[in-house]
Amino acid sequence: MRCSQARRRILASRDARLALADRLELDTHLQVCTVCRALDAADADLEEALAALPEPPVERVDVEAAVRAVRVRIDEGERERAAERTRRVRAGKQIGWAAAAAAAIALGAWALLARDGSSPKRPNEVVEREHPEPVETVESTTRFAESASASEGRYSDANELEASEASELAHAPSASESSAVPQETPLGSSAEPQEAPIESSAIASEASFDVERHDRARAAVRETFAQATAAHAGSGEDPAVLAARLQALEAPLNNLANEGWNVTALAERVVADADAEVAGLAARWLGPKSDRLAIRTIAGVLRRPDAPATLRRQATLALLDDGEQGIDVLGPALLDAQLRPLALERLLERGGAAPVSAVAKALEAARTDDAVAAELAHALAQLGSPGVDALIDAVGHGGSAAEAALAELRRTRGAPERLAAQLGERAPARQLDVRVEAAARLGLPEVLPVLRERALDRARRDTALALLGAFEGRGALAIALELWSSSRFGEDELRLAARAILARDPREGVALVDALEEAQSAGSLHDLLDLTLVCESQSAAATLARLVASPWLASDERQWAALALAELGTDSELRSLAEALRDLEPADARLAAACALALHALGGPSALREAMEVAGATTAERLIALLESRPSDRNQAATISRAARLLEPWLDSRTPQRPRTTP
Amino acid sequence: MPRNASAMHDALPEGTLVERACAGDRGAFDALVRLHFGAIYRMLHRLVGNAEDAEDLAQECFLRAHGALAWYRSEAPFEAWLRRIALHLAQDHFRSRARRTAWTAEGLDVVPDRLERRPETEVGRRELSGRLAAAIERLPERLRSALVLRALEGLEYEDVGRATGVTPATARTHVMQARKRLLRALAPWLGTRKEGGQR
Repeated sequence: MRCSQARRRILASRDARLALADRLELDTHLQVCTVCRALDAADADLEEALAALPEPPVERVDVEAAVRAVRVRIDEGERERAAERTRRVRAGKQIGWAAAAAAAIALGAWALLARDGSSPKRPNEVVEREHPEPVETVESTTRFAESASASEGRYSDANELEASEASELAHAPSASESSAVPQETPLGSSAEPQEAPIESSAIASEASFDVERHDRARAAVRETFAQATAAHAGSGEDPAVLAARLQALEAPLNNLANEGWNVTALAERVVADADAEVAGLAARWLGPKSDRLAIRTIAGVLRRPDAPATLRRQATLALLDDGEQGIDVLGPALLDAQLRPLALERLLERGGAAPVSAVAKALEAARTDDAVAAELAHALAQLGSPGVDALIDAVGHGGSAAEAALAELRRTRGAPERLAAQLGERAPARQLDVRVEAAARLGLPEVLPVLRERALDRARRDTALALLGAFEGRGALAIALELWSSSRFGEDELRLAARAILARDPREGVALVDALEEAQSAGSLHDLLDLTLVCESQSAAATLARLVASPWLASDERQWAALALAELGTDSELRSLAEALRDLEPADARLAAACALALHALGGPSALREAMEVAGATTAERLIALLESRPSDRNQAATISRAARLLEPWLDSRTPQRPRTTP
Repeated sequence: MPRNASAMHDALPEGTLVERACAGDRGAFDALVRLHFGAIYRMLHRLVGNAEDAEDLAQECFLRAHGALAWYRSEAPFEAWLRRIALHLAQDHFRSRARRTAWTAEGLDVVPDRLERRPETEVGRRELSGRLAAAIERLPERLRSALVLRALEGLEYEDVGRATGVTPATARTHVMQARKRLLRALAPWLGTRKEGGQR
């Protein structure tokens, strides 16, 4: 790992987002790099200092006084705006009358010219020109609003709100249009006195943005939903009830739409209604419309923890009704304990790419919740091959998501084989990294050559070694040994990996010694002893004990193993040490002394007496006296020499009884 | 407003208050001010660094929110929406302040004495805290906003991004850049006590 990478990870690690492999890699780097270690320490201090910054003195603020001050300023502002509006309307009316007079004069002049025969026109041409401009104005306004809402890059909520509101208003019929259509509507607008169409453009504009009319339209839409709900009692989740309610909505909402209102935008407001059934019906009506803003409004319900449960369920169903767009924003429902079963059931019924993507996103978000992550990962496993692929990708998210994904990949039939096959496929680097990590964590043997290859590449070495340490299967130690034998790695680089492998399965070292003995590979056994000694870990003790007994190693090498065992071993190694001791010849007296020292260190005098049996009782007592008279940390070489001399007669006495085994 | 009416509004859930305020209920809006004033004031105080400006800006924030209530939709949390307005106000404030006052390198490069450099001592802690507050004030606007919202206000990156108008990934980058600058500015006071922290 380079220092620049390490620094980025140190800064990122305060958010507790590092994956296991990254963390191990960083820890390895910090052990060897003082500069990065200093940065890590400084960053820890900074974190503490930020946490210790004094809180602003909120308690000193008089909130009630602030509320009053805000209220006074609001009232003042409203008075000023009202006065301004009155001034504008008056000015507009004056301009309007002037424009009307000008138009009348122009019309008179045109009529005179026509009568003179200077510009003869057919009657139908005159009819065509009677109303073209207002119609064109209304259409162009609508088109503008629609194109604005469709094409503008609305990345912020505020912009979307403005665009949608503009859309509602732009679709609102002007006063002149309403007076031209004398039909009874829920608004009752036709009964109200309207301004004449001759009014100026300023007045027409004022009328088309009439907030009161707009509010009445909203109320009418809300009332339509409320009446449909009241007319068909029952739960909105019952398909029959829902169908009846939707049927009841059709005619009144069509009437409003025919008047020019953007009913979809108005219905969005009903989704926030206090009556959960009414709001739920609005959500279900909006769901299949695939309107982007409506979908966002419905998804907003799922993010409101105070929204009633009925409404949240209806919003979930509405998003499912919508299709891909709705499913894409179903995340909050998938993370909610009450809504998750419903959402998952429907998504599993549906199948396909959209549900996989939605569940995968939710799994990534459930990074710290084990139970939720497990449930979502299980759902992905049931979504076929795309689900398995998503589970593999989830391993890269770290935390609970990665653990749940790995557990599910282990359980799912065919998943490990699919992952193994993907290791050989071409893919973007990041995706390939995740696959390698997943394969290592699952213990797939196919990944071991990949890890060896990556470990030899300096840029990817740290990650590869960390994954080798995390490999959950047999074979990792053999690869670590191969790398060690290549002499291209320092002690620090391989120590952590070997330690992690042996800590997870101490028997792996023993199995490797057996395999190397069978292959008669003395050189590899020698390297394995080196690697095991470098580990300096209790987890290496079983391997060391096995190496003490290996006839393929030189006597002095086995002696090192025995002495290391005296420091690192536990009483689990007593038996194999005793057997090794009893198996030695007089030529191995120093090795026997090292074994005796280890036995005494790990099991005390009784272990030594037991190992030397009744025949060696006297020698054992002498040895015990010698070892107890000399602290183990003082002149160990002299102690071993003296112990070896004491042991020689006992070893001699045992030689004729046993066959030679040294190769 | 009568006292009992105010109490009634205060007991309503936030969603209902917002609905009512949108419909023109003055009491509901006052209750929303009462509910969120402290949080908005605290955030602004951390951003602008003094109580007077923070209080003025907090009032202005609610004033603007009232004017824009018609644009508010329930899909975003009300407090997040307020925070965004407050952040814009704070940014305007920084710009006007930058025009009014000249930049001064206020002793950040002074090497501290040994006692001040030890964060485990009370003197050291006070010194570091003061220096840190000053260094945060000197951060560029976007980095300071991101750091305050994330590290001091404890917002998620999604919310930080929403408030500052950037993607969550960019918000994360801004926070990391801010930390880097702070580490550089406070180098003599940091990392003198121990090695490494809890990750």
